[in-house]
Amino acid sequence: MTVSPKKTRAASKYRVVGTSPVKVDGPALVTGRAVFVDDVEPDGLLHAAVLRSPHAHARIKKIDASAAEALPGVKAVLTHKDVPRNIFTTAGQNYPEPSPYDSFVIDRKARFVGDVVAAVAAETEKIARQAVGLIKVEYEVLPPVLDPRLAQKKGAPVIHDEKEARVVLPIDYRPKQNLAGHVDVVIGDLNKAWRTADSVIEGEYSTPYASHCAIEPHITLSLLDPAGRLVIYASTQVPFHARRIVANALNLPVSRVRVIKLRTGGGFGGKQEVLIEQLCAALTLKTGRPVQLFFTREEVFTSSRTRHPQIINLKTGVKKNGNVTGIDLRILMNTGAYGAHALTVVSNSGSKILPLYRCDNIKFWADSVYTNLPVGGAYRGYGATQSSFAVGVQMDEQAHAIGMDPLKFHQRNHIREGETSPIFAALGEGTEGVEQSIGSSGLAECIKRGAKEIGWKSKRGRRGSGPVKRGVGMVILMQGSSIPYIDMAGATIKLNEDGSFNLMVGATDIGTGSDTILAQIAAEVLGVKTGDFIVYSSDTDLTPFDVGAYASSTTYLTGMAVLTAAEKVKGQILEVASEMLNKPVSSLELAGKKVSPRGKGAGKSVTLAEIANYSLYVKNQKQIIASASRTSEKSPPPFAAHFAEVEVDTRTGRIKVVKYVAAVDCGQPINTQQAEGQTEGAVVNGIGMSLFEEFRFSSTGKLLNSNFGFYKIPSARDLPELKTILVVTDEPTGPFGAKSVSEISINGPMPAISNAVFDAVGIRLRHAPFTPEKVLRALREKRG
Amino acid sequence: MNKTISIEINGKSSSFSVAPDEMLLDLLRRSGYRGAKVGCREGFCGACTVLLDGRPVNSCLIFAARADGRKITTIEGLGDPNNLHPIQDAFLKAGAVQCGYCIPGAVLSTKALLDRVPDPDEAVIKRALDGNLCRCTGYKKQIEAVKLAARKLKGKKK
Amino acid sequence: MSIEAYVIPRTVKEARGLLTRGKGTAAVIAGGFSLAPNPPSRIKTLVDITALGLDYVRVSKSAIRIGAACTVAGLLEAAPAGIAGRLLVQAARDIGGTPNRNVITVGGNIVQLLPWADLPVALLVLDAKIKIAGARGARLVRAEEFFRSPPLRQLRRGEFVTEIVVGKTGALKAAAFEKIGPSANSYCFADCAVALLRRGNSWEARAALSGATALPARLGALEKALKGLTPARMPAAAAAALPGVIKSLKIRPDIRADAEWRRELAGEIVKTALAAAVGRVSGKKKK
Repeated sequence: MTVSPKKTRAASKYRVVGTSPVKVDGPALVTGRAVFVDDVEPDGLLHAAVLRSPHAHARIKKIDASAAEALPGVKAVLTHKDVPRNIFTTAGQNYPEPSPYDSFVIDRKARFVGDVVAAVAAETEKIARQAVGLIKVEYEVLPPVLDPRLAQKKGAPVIHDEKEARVVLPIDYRPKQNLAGHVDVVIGDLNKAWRTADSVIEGEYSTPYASHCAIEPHITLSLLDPAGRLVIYASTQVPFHARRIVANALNLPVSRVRVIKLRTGGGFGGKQEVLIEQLCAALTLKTGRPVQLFFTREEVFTSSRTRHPQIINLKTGVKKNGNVTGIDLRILMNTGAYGAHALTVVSNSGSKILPLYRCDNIKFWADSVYTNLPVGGAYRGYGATQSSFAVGVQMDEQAHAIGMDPLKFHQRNHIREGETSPIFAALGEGTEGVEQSIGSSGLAECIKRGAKEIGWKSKRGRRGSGPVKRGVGMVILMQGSSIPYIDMAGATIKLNEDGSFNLMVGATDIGTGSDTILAQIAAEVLGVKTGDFIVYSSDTDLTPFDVGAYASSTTYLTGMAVLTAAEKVKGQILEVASEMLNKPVSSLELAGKKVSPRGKGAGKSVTLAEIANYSLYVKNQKQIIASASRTSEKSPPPFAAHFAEVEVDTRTGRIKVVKYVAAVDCGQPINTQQAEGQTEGAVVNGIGMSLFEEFRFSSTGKLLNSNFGFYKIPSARDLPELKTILVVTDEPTGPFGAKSVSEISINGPMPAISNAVFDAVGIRLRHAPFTPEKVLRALREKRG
Repeated sequence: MNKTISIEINGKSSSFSVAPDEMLLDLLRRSGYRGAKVGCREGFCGACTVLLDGRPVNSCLIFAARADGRKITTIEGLGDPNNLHPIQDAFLKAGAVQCGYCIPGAVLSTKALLDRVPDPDEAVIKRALDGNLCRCTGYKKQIEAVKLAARKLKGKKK
Repeated sequence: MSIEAYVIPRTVKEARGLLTRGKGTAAVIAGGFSLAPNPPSRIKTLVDITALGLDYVRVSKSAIRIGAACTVAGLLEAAPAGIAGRLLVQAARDIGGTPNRNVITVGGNIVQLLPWADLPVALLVLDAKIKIAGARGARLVRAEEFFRSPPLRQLRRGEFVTEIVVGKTGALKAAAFEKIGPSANSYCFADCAVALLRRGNSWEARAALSGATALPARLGALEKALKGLTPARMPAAAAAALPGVIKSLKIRPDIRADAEWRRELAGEIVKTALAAAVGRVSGKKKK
């Protein structure tokens, strides 16, 4: 469902933008013909398997691979002795990365259960796994840190005691204290905030480890091409970062590495990590053979990346009239054994929620600490998910405390178009942020439409009489669109002789639909259809640079690069047409696959095919082609209001989400259906995180539920009635008014459901997930 | 010891030499039916779903030897990119495809459903898709796709 | 993996022979859900019992007979009528996802006792009998006996389950099944079946619990407390007796949730299932 606030200009203004053409990669995907990494099987392919640490914290004293090497079919065994000792970060971020350099291809120390100890390449996967079992390791088991609250205690075991650990940006990094990142900001006067408040609430909230659960596990294939260059077929969000990081890790010049992103079976941040490419490539370099490294599902759970768990202490002050006088947000984030995204995720926990509420006095303080547990990383929502939960619940608590309807409370407090927040300038990604004011916001409309759709007025406060109670709750949200002055995207467009175009982008469609959306943007400019583009993404040899699919940047940033490239190509087309028609460029227009003089009956026109043929074969021969690249000066936030209706069974503690409404302002949606799809996917993932997704560990730090039997993700039968409302706005800096949409909606379910449960049964759920066990316990405590 | 078996895949009978521990999923993939995907190898995710005698099954749980003499439908047996099966067309039109890794399985589960129940209600559709995990779409558009496919197929029969 | 042979016998006798000759290195495989992902290394021969013609649901005047290799989906589609049949269907409905239900067999479900074993509680309250084929012919074991220790350990070499017999009795007046897990088709935290029977004017309630406990079992102490009461009076009596009943349960470890909570939950779902069954009796009376 799409609604436009101001009888739009927007909806009718565009020909291709705002429609929902079939995905350009759709026919290949829906027929099973699309090529994912596992579908590539070069001759002589070897299969890799990884020996993983059974200990949370251990030094490798001795490692003997001779029995493994002697096994017939084994072609290579790599231990820490066999790989270059170059330190790097696995975080697929821009160089210089804001994450600490604390990782090796293989290290002599294991820092969590599941850490890499050795790797094998063999003729079959079965032999590789058998060989892994034959490697003898003598460990010096070290005391582990399994609780983030104890990580910085005096005398705590030091997890990164290697001398090489360092940062490449001036950020607060204290490995000797297990501190992987720290950020703090104070704006205004907090004491004044508490003094002037009528209600001051303080509380602790927490969010657990969670797995992305892309259905395609992490996979890489590496080989040497005929020229001896290393070619990596990757399931990745970040092909260009992968090229750079692999080259650095393995002492290769960037020119000797080519990364090709094939179809990628989901990422959600989990593949914004250069985690397996360097290991697979090292096996190829050792054997000279193609090698595939394909994680088992268990490895995805234990040894890929996760959502960083956070312990959040939040204090807010509110006046009786609803004004927010102060917010004090303190976060202890567990980054696990390595500091991937350790600083930036927690920075986003501040920067993607604090500007949402008008407030003059803000304190934000965050520590990101190492533990001997699985490693955090980028995960859709990127820190905002965790903090939106705490803030979203406490604002509901505040509304309750001052006796105001949360709907009204949010309506009066949210940031508006033209307003700014000091947080924008104060908090960036490892550096200071960028000042910006809100260029577009449909949040007021989101709240209004969402409340109507959920039936807020008629359902709020009506619990029902039986043992199963009903309630509704809401939350407001924001995210960003790209990282200003850091992200960069390029695009190339080329005209072919039948009037079709090649669109080449480094941006990575990982299921997000960006190939289609970017083609739509170019089609809008060039007067053709989406299907007139042959889209290629991404290949470090053939497509221009792009930071990749993260930070909600592709539509906004790559979209602008595509739009600019398309305009350049349009200029070239008009010039050739001008020559062919002998008319000035200013009198011509490009539409419907042809260039015509403006005005009715103004004379003959030339088709794109004729123009292409003319420029390729006839006169002043040249390839009509243009590239463009863009950075951004802003990160315009998309906004959303989410509403949940729940049933709580007071006998068992089980929560059922009955209905969920996500009203989202993503600017002008480029592809309406795909924008809805991003929202729906994010919401359902968020519902899983709210109700049952979490890691369970043994007392020694071993992950116990590393499969889909005991780590459940929602199935079709867990889907509530789900309504998406896209509120169209016009972001002045975005391509055709677009902002981002992919991340924001994962932030809603935890707070919206928690608030709905409060409406239903009067308990506050501050620790996710809201298992029936926790609900029942809270109900009991309430009864006393 | 390897054994020679015969399977009718997508209407065509072929013989295969299979090892006793080979899974149907691996046999299919090495024989070019790569639309069946590896997602968990434990029977939970449904990415490897194929139809065995018309019923969706996890091909990662079935030893290849069991398929001897039986009929298998893989995604390659439905449409191709230039000639989509109505269910595939419906999945695209409804926007039910994002990364696409789960889609061959979901499309085959839909086929099995609509072959038996031409006009399923939403609860029946959800149940038919409950073994095909999808992390991208949130299922809503997949459910809409099944409804659309049911309408398309009904129209075709008339 | 050390599987050296995958055999698909055509007769029970042939299967029995293979298992006997295998001397512990041969194992029965049906759905494959428990064996396929990670077969124990001692297993060299897999004996596939899905081609023995044991995939039936036969309903006669006296019994519902379910072949051990009948899939969960097969049972759901056969949808045997009557109170007992409906209880079986209810218990089978949420085992796994659709592709799982097409391979998981009724026999496998009750023998392997994976966390998706929802059928045993239904079989217990229906007083079903399990038919086991062995070297010296077949034997029939009452469900209660069958689940007293892990069924896999009970089966002697060469033995396997061939059929489940649910005897029909006019005394059965109502039944209900309840299950609770984290998501719609999860392994349950606990599941429970209740059956109400009447002989003359005397009522009997049967209740069985699984999931929270290591083995599915009848709740004898509860049944005793309800014996002779009319259905209308059962819920109150159950509420009084249950604290003591659940206190004595041996709760098995579950990485997902605390044992004490699952103990309480067990009590709650017994109450819910009993209430549902009682509701069905009184509902009928009104008609």
